[in-house]
Amino acid sequence: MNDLEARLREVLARREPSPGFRGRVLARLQAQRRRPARRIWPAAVLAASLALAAGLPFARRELNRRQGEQAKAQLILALDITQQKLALTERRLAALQERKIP
Amino acid sequence: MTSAADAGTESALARARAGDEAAFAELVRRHQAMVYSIAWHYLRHRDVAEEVAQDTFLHLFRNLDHLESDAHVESWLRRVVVHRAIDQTRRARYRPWTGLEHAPEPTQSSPPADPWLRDLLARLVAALPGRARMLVILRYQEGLEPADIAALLALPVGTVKSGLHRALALLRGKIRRETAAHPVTEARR
Repeated sequence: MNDLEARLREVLARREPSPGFRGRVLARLQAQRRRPARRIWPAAVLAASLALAAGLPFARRELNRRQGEQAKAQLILALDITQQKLALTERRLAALQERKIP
Repeated sequence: MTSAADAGTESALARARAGDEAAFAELVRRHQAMVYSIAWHYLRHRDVAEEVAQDTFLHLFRNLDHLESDAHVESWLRRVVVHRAIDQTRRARYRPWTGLEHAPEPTQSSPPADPWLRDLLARLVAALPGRARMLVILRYQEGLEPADIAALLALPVGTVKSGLHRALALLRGKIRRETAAHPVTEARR
């Protein structure tokens, strides 16, 4: 082993943390044990996010379906009105023709 | 065959696993210098090193069921603190503080040496690039063989050997330049 390596072992010797380290670790451990409910929150948030992500396509499909049905109903109504108008016009034309022909 | 020390540790491990807080405190006492020193030598910041060391022991508590023996506890803790210290520098774009004002005292008393050279060497190690710094810490603080370091850092053994070689060459060159710039004075004697 050369001189540099010996000096490195000296410089990098293990050091103790500041006094009370063990107590601080145990205090954090006890603090974590006292609030186990907090661990539920990340799981709950994750579950809610997953449910929302899974539900979004379904909600979008449902919205599209309802909009389609409304458009279809409006089209049918418009066709009905047009048909009624045409029938009325047809009847009036027939009446006019009957009046002209003695 | 199990030594008395091993038996004691395994007993502490078993008791800690069963929820005995005093036994867990005993595990912390046995390994705190190793864990803290790796974090301290790599991060060179007392508060950050302490936080990383504390986190490492809290992680140990959550994983007691997966550990089998003291040797396993020691190597497991070493692996965790090494990776947590490296992650810490990545997360915070952290640069190690190279000052020595708040450096903790070594656990073992060392023979008297040139304090100027010792401080210079500590600063030069702290200024090494991250991977080289960790290689030097694991080799000279922990006394690990290159093969063990390679396994711990998931690197090829050749990479570890060449990395150590380059780090030592770099340190030698810088020491040579610094000592040439600051020849021995009365203050250094």
